[in-house]
Amino acid sequence: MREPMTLDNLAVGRRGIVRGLQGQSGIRRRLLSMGFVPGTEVETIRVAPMGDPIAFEVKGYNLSLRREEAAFIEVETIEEFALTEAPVGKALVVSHVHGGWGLRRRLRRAMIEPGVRLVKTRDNWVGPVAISVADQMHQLGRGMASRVFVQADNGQS
Amino acid sequence: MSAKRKIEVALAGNPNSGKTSIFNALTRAKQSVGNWPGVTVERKEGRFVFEGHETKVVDLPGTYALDAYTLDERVARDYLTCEKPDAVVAVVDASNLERNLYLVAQLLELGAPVIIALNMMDVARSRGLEIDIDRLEKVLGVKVVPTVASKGVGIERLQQVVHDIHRDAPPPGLPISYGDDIEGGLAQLTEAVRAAWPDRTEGARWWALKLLEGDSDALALLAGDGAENALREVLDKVRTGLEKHIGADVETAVVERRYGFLNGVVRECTRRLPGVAGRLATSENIDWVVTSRWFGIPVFLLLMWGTFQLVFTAGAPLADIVDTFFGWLGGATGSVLSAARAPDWLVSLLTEGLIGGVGSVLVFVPNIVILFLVISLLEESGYMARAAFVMDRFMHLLGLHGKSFIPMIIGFGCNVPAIMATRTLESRKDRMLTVLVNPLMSCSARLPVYILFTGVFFTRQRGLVVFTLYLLGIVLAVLVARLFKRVFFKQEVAPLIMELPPYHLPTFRSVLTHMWERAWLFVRKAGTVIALASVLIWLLASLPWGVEYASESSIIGRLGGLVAPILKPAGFGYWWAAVSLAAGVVAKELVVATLGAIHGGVAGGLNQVLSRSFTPLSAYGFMVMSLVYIPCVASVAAIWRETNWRWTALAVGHTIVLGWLLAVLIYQVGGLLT
Repeated sequence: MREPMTLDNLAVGRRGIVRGLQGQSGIRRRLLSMGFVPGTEVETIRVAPMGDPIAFEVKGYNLSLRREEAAFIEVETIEEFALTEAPVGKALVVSHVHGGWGLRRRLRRAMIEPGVRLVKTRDNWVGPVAISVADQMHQLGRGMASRVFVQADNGQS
Repeated sequence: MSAKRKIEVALAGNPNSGKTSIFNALTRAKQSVGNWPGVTVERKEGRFVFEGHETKVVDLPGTYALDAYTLDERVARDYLTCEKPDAVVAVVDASNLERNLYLVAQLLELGAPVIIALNMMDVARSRGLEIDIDRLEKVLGVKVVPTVASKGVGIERLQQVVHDIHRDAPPPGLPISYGDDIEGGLAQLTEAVRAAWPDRTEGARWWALKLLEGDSDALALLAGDGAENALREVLDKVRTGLEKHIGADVETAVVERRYGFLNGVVRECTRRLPGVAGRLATSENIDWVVTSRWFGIPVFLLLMWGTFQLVFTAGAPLADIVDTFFGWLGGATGSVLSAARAPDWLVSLLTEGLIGGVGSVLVFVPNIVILFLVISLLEESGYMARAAFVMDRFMHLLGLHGKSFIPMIIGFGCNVPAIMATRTLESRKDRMLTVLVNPLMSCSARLPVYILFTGVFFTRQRGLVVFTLYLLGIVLAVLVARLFKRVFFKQEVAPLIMELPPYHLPTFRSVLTHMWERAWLFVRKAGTVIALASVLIWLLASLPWGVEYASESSIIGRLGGLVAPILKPAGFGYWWAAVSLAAGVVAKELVVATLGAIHGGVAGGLNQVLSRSFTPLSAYGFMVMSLVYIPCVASVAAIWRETNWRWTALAVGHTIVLGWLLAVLIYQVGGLLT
C-alpha cells in the first residue's frame, strides 16, 4: 500500500481503496450513501472528453463525479502496475485488465485474465513486450500491455 | 379489520431501478400526475383493483437514500413519516443489489412496512448472479417478490402480496447491529429521545440514529427548548465519546457499518455463476465509444442534430396538417355561423380569437410528441446520463448542469418543449435556471421577424446579421444564468454525483406512456391558458364595438399609442410597432403577421413603411427586442407549469426590461458611433 491521495488523482485504469471522506456534511453524506465508504474498492473508468467529470466503478456500478467532488475522497492505491512498467524476470500475477470486452477477449485467448501468473521475459522499452504464461511465450503490443495490471506474485491465491 | 378498507401503498426505489416500469405495470392506465404540495417535484398516483379491492399507489421520487439532503429525498421521507402508507414497495435492481438495499435498510429502520420488488431479475441472471430469495426474505424479515417489470413478470404476485399486507403482522424492523460501541451510544440516545419526545411515532431508535448521523432535519428539531436541552447534552456526550473511541467521525462510521451489514447480506444471499462475465460487456463496449475522448462529443452532437432534424423536419408536415385543419375549422365554423345569421362579433371571436389562437398552439403538438418520443428513448436507454457526462464541463462553465444542454438545443426549435424537457434535471437550481434562460434561445418562430427586417435593411449581410442574433441569445443566456445563480441560488451546491446506468433497450410501452403523458399535459394545461389569452387579445383588438380589427382606434391600438413613447428611445416609437410586439406575445410569428395586417401585407406597402420608419440600427434593435422580450404565451404557460407564478413573473419581467434596455442601447450607442 502506498501513501494516501485523493480520488481525482487516481489514474484511469488504476484501483484504490477508500480511506476517508472530507468536505461538507451534505456532500460527504451523499458520497457515503452512494457507496464510497471506507474500505471500498474504486476503479477509475474514464475521464470525460473535456477532462471533467470522471467515471468510476464502485460497488459494481458506474457513476461520475466532478473533480472537485472526487477530491473529497481519500484513497490508497492498490499496489499494482501496468505490464509495461513491470520488472523483467519477476514472478507476477495479473490483478486486473482495464479495457473493453474486445480487449479482454483477445487477452483471454492469450490466457491472460485476472489471477493468471506470468513472467515478463523481455522488454526493450519500444516494441512488444514478451511474456511467458504457463510455459508458453506470447508477445503483447505496448498499447495492450499498458492495460494489463499486475502485482508481484507472493505465492498465494 | 374491515375488508373494504382502501389500501395505500408507496413505491420507493433508486433512480434506474425500474420503478417507473413497476408503477406502470401495476397500475396500467389508471394514473394521474400532479405535483407534491409546495414543491415542483412530480407526484404520480395510480390505482389497481385486485380481487375486488382497490389499492392506491403513490410513486415516490427516485432516491438513493432517505437523508433529506435533496428535495426528492425530503419529499419521500416526509410522505413516509407523515402519511404512513399501509405498505412501501421498495423496487430493488437485482443486478445492483448492495447499493439498492441501502435505501431498503433505511426504509426498514424507519419502521416502514416494506415489500421488496426484486426487479430486473433477467439482467441479474445474464450477469451470472443467482439470488437466494428465501434467504433474503429471512435475513431482512420482509417479503421479496422477484419481478421483470418490463415484461410484466411477477406483477400479479406483487399485487397479491400488497393486497395481503394488512393480514400480516407488521414487520419487526431491521435489526442492523452497528457494533458494541455505537450500539451502546445508541441505547443511551434512544432512552433520551424517548424521554424528550414521547409522542414521536417514528420510533425512538430511528431518531437516535438520525441524530447520531448528523441528519439536518433531526438536528433542526433539537433547536427547541425544554426537553431538548437534556437530549442535546446526551447527544454531545455520546458523540464525543464515540468519536474518541472510533477515531473517525460517527456519521461515516454509521454509514460504513450499515454498508458492511448489507455487504454481508449480499454475500450470504447471492452466488456468482462461474463462466459468465460479471460485468455488462455490451454496456461497456458502447461506453468505450460513446463517452470516449475522441468520439464522445461528435456522437453527442450527431444525436442532438438527429433529434433536432426529427423533431422539426419530420414534425413539420404533421404540424402543417394541424395548421390546415384549424384553418379549415375556422373557415367552416365561420360559414356555418354566418349561414345561421350569427352576429359578426361572435363569428370573429370564435374563428379569429378562439380557433385561431388555440390552433396556433396546438400546431406544436406533433413536434412535442416526436420530441418526447426521442427524449424518452434517450433517457430510458441510459444515454442521457452519458450526454450529461460528456457535456458537463462545458455547461458547468455556464453555471448549469450537463443535462441542461438538451433543453438549450431544443430551444432553438421551440422553447415550449424545451422548457418541458427540463424535467430530466434533478436539482431545483439547475431546473429553474435552465427554464428561465431558455426563452433566450432563438426559437424558429422568431425567424420570420429576422427574415422580414434583414430583407429590408441588411440585404448584403443577411446571414451574418441573423447569426449575430442567435449568438446574442446564447451570450445573454449565459450572463442571465450566472446573474440569477448568484442572486437566487448562492447557497445551493449541486454536485454532479450521477449514476451511469447500464444501457438497456427501452420497451415500446414505457416510451409511449412517457410520450403520451407529456403531450397530454401540454394540450391540457397550455391549451386552457392559451385559449384564455387568445380571447383576451381578440377582445382588446375588437373593442370598442365597430372598430376595424387591431386598428389604431381599437383598445390594443390605443394601448399601443400609450406604449409607443416608451419605445421611442429605441427608435421605433410607433403605435403599430407596439401593437405588433403585443400580438407577438401570443406567438412570435404574429409580429410579422400583425405588421402585415396593419400595413396592407408584404405585397402592399409594408416594406416601404418599414424602410421609411426604421433605420438599420432601430431595425436591429427591433429584432433584438423580438428575440428577448416576453416569451410567447405558450412558453409562459410552460414556465408556469414547470415552476410557480413567482418564477413566471420573473421570466416575463426580466425579459421585458432586458429587451427594452438592449434595443435602446443599440439605438443610442449606435447613433453616437455612426
